[in-house]
Formats: sequence, C-alpha cells, structure tokens
Amino acid sequence: MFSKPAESLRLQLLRWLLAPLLVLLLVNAWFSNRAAVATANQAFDRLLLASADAIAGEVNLREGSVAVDLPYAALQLLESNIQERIFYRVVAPDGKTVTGYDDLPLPAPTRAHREDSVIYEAQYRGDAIHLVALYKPLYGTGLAAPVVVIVAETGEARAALSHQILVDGLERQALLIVAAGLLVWLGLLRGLRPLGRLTRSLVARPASDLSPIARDAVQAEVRPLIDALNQHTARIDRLLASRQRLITDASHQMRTPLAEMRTQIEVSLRQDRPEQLRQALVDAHADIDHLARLIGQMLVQARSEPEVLQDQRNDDVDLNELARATTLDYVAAARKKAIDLSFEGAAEPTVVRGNALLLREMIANLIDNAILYAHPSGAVAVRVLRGQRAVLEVEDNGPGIAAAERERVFERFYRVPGAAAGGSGLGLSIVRNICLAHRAQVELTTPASGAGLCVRVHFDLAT
Amino acid sequence: MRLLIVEDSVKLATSLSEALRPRGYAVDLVHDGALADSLLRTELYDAVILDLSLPGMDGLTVLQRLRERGTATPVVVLTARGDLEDRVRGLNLGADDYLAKPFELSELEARLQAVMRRAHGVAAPKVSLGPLEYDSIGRVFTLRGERLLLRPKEHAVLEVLLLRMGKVISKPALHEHVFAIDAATGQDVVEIYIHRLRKHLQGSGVAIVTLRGLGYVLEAG
Repeated sequence: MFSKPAESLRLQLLRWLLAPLLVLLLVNAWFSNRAAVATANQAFDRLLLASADAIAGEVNLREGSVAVDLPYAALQLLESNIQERIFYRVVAPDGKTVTGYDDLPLPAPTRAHREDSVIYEAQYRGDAIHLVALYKPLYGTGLAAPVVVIVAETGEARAALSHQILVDGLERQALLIVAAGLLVWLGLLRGLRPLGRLTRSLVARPASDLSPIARDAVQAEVRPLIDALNQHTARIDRLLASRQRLITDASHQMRTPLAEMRTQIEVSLRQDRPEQLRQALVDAHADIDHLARLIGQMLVQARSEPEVLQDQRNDDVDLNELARATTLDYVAAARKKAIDLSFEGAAEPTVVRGNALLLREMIANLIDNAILYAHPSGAVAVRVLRGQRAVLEVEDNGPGIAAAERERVFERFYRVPGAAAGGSGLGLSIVRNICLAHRAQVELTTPASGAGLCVRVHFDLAT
Repeated sequence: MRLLIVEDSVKLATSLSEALRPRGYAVDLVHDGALADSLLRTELYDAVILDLSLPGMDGLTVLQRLRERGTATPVVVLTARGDLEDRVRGLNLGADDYLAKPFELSELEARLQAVMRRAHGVAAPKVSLGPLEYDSIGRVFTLRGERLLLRPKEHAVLEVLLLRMGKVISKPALHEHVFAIDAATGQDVVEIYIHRLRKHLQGSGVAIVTLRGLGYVLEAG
C-alpha cells in the first residue's frame, strides 16, 4: 500500500529537527564570530587610543622642535599576559619621526587630518598589526600640521578574546540543541502513549468484535486515521452480516430439497416397488439439478454483493456480442423445453462500461429465469436496443409477475407465491446487484402481447 | 479411442467410466494430479477428462505442463468451483472445453465427441441423432435405416448440422462451411437448402429448428 516502509517517527522527527538546527548553529557561529571579533577590536582599539592619548599629552615644543617624554604608564596600559608586541611612533609636523619605530606605517593619506584619530590595520615586519593614529595640533606654535602619535599592537590578545566569546556562545547553543532533542524524544514518548494503549486494546479484541474504535482516545491528528479504519471495519461488518444471512438463508433453502429427496428415497427403499424406486430416482435427479443451480447462484450472489462490487474492474463491453454469446449458451436448455429462443441485436455495436464476467452473469440469470418460467413450447426473446442509452430486454411468455410483486421479487430468496418450482429466488437479486454496480436500471414490464414478463435493463452507453 | 479420466472422486470417476466404456472408449482412471502428470508423459490418449481440484497436483498445473510439452491432446475440464474466472483461466491454459459440476452425462459425451473431432479431424465412424444416422466413412445418411438421397450441397449442410451435436450454427457460419469463400451466392441461399432438407426430414422426428438471430440447430423431437 505504501511505496516504502515508514521508518520510526522518532528518528524521522529527530532527523528533521536536528539537521536544520545544526545548519542554523553553523550559520549562527559565523555571525557570532564576526560580532566577537568586532567586540574584541572595539575594546582593544579603545585601549590603543587611550595609550596614544597619554603619549600625546607629553608632546610639547622645545626650542622650536617637537619633543616627547614617553610615559611608560601609557605603554603599560597595553600589557597583558598574552605575548604581544607593541609599537609606537611620534611624527613631527615636518614628517620626521621624533621617537619610536620610524618605519611604522602611517594611515592612508586620504584619511589623514580629517579626524582626530584613525584606526587602521597594516602589515608590519611580517605581522598583521592594529594601529591607532592620533592627531595632536600644537596650538599657538605656528605649526600648521599636527603631531601624529601612532600606537600599534599585534592581534594575539584580541584574537584570544574573540575566540573565547565565540566558544562560550557555541557551547550554550549546543546545549540547547541537545536539550531540544531530548525534549522531542520525551514529548513523542508521551504523545505516542495513546497509540500504544490503542494497539494493546486492539490486540486484545475478540475477532468477532467489529465495533468502532473510540476516536476520543487519541489526539486530533490521529482521528482521521481512526475514522477511516472505523469506516473500513463497518464495511467489513456489513459484508459479514450479509454473508451470514446468505449462508443462513441458503442452508434453509438447501435443506428442503434434501429432505424431500431423503424421505422419498427412504420410503421407496422400504417398499421395494421398482416403479416407485424409479420415480424416486427421477425426482431426485430433478432435485439435484435444483440444488446445483441454487449453489451456483449462491456463489454468484456472494460475488455480486454491493460491498464486493465496489472495486470491480471495468472494460468496454459490446452488449450486442455479449448478449448473443450468452443466449447461445442457453440454446440447449431452451430446446429441452421446446422453447423458441431468439436473439435480436442492435444494428451497430452497443458498447457499455462494465465487467464482462458480471454482465454475462446478469444476462445469463435473466435468460435462465425466462426459460424456467416460460410455458413449454413458448418463446423467449433476447434483444439489445441502442438509442440514447443501451437497453437489454429479455422477454418470456410465461405467467408474468403481478405489479404488486414486482418490487419484492428483487429481494433475496423471495419467490412469488405459487411460482413454478426450480427457481432459487436469487436470480433477480443477483441481477439487481450487478445493475447497481453498473449504474444500470432494471424494470419489469408486461410485453406488448399482454402476457408474460419483459425485463428491461438500461445502461449508459460508453463514451 | 483411449480416454484418461483424472478425477479425485472415485465414485464419480467410476460412474463416468461405466457410462463411457459401452460407447467404445478404452478408459483409464487416475485419482491424483501428480500421477496423471507422469502418466500423460508416457502414454498417448485421444482425450482427457480433467478435474481441477486434485490431490498431488492442481488440475490447472497438470494442464499447463501437458501444453508446455507441446501435446495437443484434447482436454475437457471438470470443476466444482463453477467460477467464471476459473473457466477463463482453464481455457487460456489450453483446455478445449469446460463443464461445471454437476453436469449431464449426455452433455459430457457430446463435448467429448466435439473436442475429439476438432482435434483429430475425424468424427466417430457413426453419428446418430434419433432415427437419423450418418456413416462418416461412407459419407452416407440413413433415416430409419433407409438411405437418404441428398444433393451434394444438401448433404454438406446436413453434415455440418449433425456434427454440431445440438449446438447452434449461425447462417454466416453455415454458408462459409458449405460454399467456397469466393462463391457469388448470398447467404440467403442457405435458406433454400434448409427448406429442402426440411422436406426430406418431414415426419421423421428429426427437425431443423430456426432460432431467430442465432442460427440453426438440428434436433430429434
């Protein structure tokens, strides 16, 4: 029924939950990393600036040239327990280095002089370094350009900080994911509990109990499944009940001819009169035919129950051909009663949608009935007419069926009071079931001649 | 004519053989499918009566294996299942005819004759229907022991009708049997011969019955 066996719901949910969460964690880690680096940079750049500011405070003009007394406290600001190298440089307005590393790179000229300070990065002696350049104008000295104080450091400390921020964050998130997985597992365990209870109660059920399953015992999501199961069970229940009735009715129907046969044979055996024995055998022969017919029709009846026919296979069937072939099967039976059996097809193929085996069974039942009830040396006519719809007609000149009885004869095992012996009471019930399955309508009418019965079945033509 | 009856009911098989032996058949009985299968490998029969529900091996399997060996021996299948699908399966597997239990002995005999004639191309040497008798070797019809003098076409029509054994033959089929395909005659010419034959058979108790829309059937009254 399913294309592939469904795997465990828990595994499925965990996979659907954990895989996206892990992807989200990776994306988040990338963003967190950027944020952590930015935070670390901001903190350390501020320290660089403070240090540059302290140096700038000691810059003054001595004898017309810039001089600086380097405050060691300023550089101590930058010290940490991480091995880092610190560089500084003070550049006079004339571009000469006053003190420090005279090859420490200056900020890009486009950014110079526009701001009080510039934060930038550069390559220096094979390392990536972070630098701060502070512009200190020397007012009242006549010098147009400011003194530039540059402080720089290699990035180990800030890398360590950003790394720590990132790891701390990721650890917390990973814990959250594990917790989510556990909660899902526990939730499912709880959520599946009603299904477990349902399973145990179904396993414990006796086979005869086809009552509906209580839909309130399970969650709303599972209720449609329970409803579908209940509907299916109800169909099986109806089918079983109908079968049971058929078996009960049929055994009753079969006991009667068996009892007749048994009694008649027993009496004949006791009396030892050859001609009576012979009569008993002749009667038993007829009874056996009756029983055989009954059993055959019961099988067809069982197969033509509406519940069974719901999913029958449909093909295009030429009613003309089918009716003709079925009529031919009944020539021997008709001739035995010297009945004039005739067939009249439509001029062109009359195609209907249906199951050929069942339609043949239906036509056979109609002809069989007609031959059974037609007067000896009477006539049975089978016709196929094609108009707006396809019509199958089976007409006999027997006693017919009184209008008052015409509905009841379709009931299973109903027989018109005083009807000729030999009928099983199943034929028309089978016909009606097969008609229902083919959306065909069956009507009983009196032939134009005024005597007998004409059964007419109307089909939709295949399009 | 050698006949094999494969039927698990000993009672039914014995009755059948008792009915068929007086008709000149040499009958062998088997009650088991596997036994029937091995027998059919070595022995040659003119026809087989095969029950479907058998111990040892299912009747349909016996039939399938027989046909797989390329044996064309005609097979009449008997079944208690009476199921149309079974019938279709049986015929598809190569059964020549099919009878649902219970059946009439005369019906079985007629089917047996028909399948053997189809398979071997020869009818029983003598075929009779009531007072009408046909010697298929001398190709002579006799009615109540007197030779019936028929023209060739009349003879051909009556032969076809008699050999159908109570089955209907349609007018087109009869026409095809009796006249060459390229004959310039219409199908209605059949009616002329039917009419003449009826005159020959008048009062004999054998009659050609017309079933409107179906065809003709020869029957003894």
